[in-house]
Amino acid sequence: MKRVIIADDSETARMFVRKCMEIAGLSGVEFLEASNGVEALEILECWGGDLIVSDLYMPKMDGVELIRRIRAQDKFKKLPILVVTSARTPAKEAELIGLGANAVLGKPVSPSALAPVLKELV
Amino acid sequence: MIDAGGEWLAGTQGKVIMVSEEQLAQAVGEALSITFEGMAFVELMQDTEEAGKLRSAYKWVWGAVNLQEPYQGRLCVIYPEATARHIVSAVYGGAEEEIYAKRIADALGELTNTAAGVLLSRLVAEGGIFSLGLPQTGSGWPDTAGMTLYVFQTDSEEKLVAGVRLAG
Repeated sequence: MKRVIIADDSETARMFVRKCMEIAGLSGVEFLEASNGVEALEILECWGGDLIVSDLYMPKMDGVELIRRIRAQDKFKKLPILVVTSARTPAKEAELIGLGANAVLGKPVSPSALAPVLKELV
Repeated sequence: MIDAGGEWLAGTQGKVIMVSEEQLAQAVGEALSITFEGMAFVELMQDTEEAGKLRSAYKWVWGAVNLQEPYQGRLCVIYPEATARHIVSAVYGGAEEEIYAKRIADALGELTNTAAGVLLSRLVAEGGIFSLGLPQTGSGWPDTAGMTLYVFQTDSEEKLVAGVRLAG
């Protein structure tokens, strides 16, 4: 079973992303939730993962640092990272892709926006 | 800050740009509509009622986000308690029994955070980036000093108020 780690400090945002992914057709997947980058890294190290979905602004460790820490490890070089953020602009997207994110979506995310990204990443 | 000509002065990457009251009103309306339709399946329409007249009619709860760069300001969305409960329930798929105080606060914060992102995506210059603070929530009427207030009505005729302060 594939494992998706959703990192966002908002319980509502995590629930909403999960719901949109299910509506977008992602099935047979285990969702693990983290409320910041530190928790997401711990889950990834402990359980592994097939996709990281991360917010940008989180306490303790934000999404940018999470991407850096993941990409710093050889074993996670190819792990897909999707950033879902309220601060998406073309310039920010380019910056995040440059850091190692595979895709960036703006909030509010929707099943129709997620579907092609999931098809490519998962 | 608002100048004598009725335009908001806002900074972006060291350059001051002008955002007219009409542009700001349109951007706030779009931001809230996209957010509430996208997350709660609630349609919003701008309402002509004055926020000041509503203030004493309800018990209020609110979510707010500070705008940090390139604008310094604040977006606050203020709801009658019952309206907040209905909207959060809709976000969570209509399960009223699962809507408790902590979840309402979290959802109001996320709705405001999302709306603030949509708002700024319409106000930053091409090629620009922006940043937001972490969401805050509370009960009672918040400090709206210096904010322009916009009243909205949901498709079930419930009111909510958005307040925006924008400065460079």
